[in-house]
Amino acid sequence: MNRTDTLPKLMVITHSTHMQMPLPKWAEEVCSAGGRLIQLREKHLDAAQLYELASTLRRITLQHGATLLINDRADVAWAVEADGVVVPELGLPIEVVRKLHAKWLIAKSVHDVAGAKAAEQSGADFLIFGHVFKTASKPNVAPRGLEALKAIAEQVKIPVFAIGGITAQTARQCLENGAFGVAVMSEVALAENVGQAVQTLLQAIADPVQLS
Amino acid sequence: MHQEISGLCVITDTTTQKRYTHLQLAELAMRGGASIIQLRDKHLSAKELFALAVAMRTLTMSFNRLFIVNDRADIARAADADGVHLGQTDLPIPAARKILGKGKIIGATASTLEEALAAEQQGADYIGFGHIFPTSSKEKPTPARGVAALQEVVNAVKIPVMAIGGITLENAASVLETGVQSLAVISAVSTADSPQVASAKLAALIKTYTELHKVNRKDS
Repeated sequence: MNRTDTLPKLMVITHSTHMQMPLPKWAEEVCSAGGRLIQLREKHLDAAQLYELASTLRRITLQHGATLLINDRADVAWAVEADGVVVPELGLPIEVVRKLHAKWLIAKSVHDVAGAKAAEQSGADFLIFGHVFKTASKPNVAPRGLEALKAIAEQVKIPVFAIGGITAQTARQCLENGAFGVAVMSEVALAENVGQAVQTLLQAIADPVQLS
Repeated sequence: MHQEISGLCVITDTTTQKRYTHLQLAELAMRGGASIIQLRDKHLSAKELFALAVAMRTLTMSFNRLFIVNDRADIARAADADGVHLGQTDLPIPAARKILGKGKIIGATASTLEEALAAEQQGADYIGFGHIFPTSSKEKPTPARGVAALQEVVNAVKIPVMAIGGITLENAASVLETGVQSLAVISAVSTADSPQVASAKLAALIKTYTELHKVNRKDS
């Protein structure tokens, strides 16, 4: 069985500085609503704080059978026995992360075809590509668009998650343009009703995609 | 089992000075006699820090010196460094031990006796205690600890103690009188006219005191 055989199609990314509630409660709501893939990404935190949060999220995600990935810090992922790591563009080489932990699910953030192919070649399990649409997280960078997403998805065999400006509506478009799944930050992090936001996204990507 | 922590530890730093790269500073320090090189750079990406750590591993190996990575246990392991140094805001010691195993060195920063004892109890291999004197290397929210506090720690813990913070050639002797096994410096080497000469002088001073303390221990 491949590591990605049971990969959920919705990745929810933490954004603690913008959340209406403490991160553990938020994670609980995400999981209760059916979110099964969480990425802990809190670049402003030091390793001690990140480790604390990661430990808590590990406990919550395990209770729900959800997958937990840690952004960048493979040591934190290792220490809390997370399911894997999301390697940022300027993160550790994929081969190095794989050598640290053979069974990890390793995702790589990419921004173009060359980066996507290189990541696949070096053994990434799946890719996160973006930002596809306009997003408040990256106000000064032009979105890469659905065409670019499609081009990437056609060039690699591993699953591609679309990120950046993902809503229930755009999530659907991403899947129609070759994405395996979508990754969201603001849409769930900022939501007044976290559970409902997760459910709406899950529904949007659950129906079989009509290939035109 | 790994080599014991002792002698001069030079933390390569490229924020207090721009003349040398991390690797150049390390090489000069080791030529002078530094026993331990610690790589610390909070500004680099993981990709850059890893690449640098790999190069630093090769360099320190050629001098047969210890190489410690600050904060990132994953990079310490991936680059096959001798260990990791953890500050109070870094990973907990047991978490880093899980990653590095027993064969690697884990150092822990302490600025109080309680922190030092806790770190020893959690399995640290050495204590980095400080800062001893006022220092300009980092923003320090806490006051300098002084030599008396260092003495307390040296007396209280069984693992080696490395003194850090504002140590210069002028005040090093007062620090070494406590029986501390190791001195860590940043600016005293990185901003010296000759980092190599500064390292040599500090290393020689540490050696003198280490031998003196050995003799004293035998006598008592």
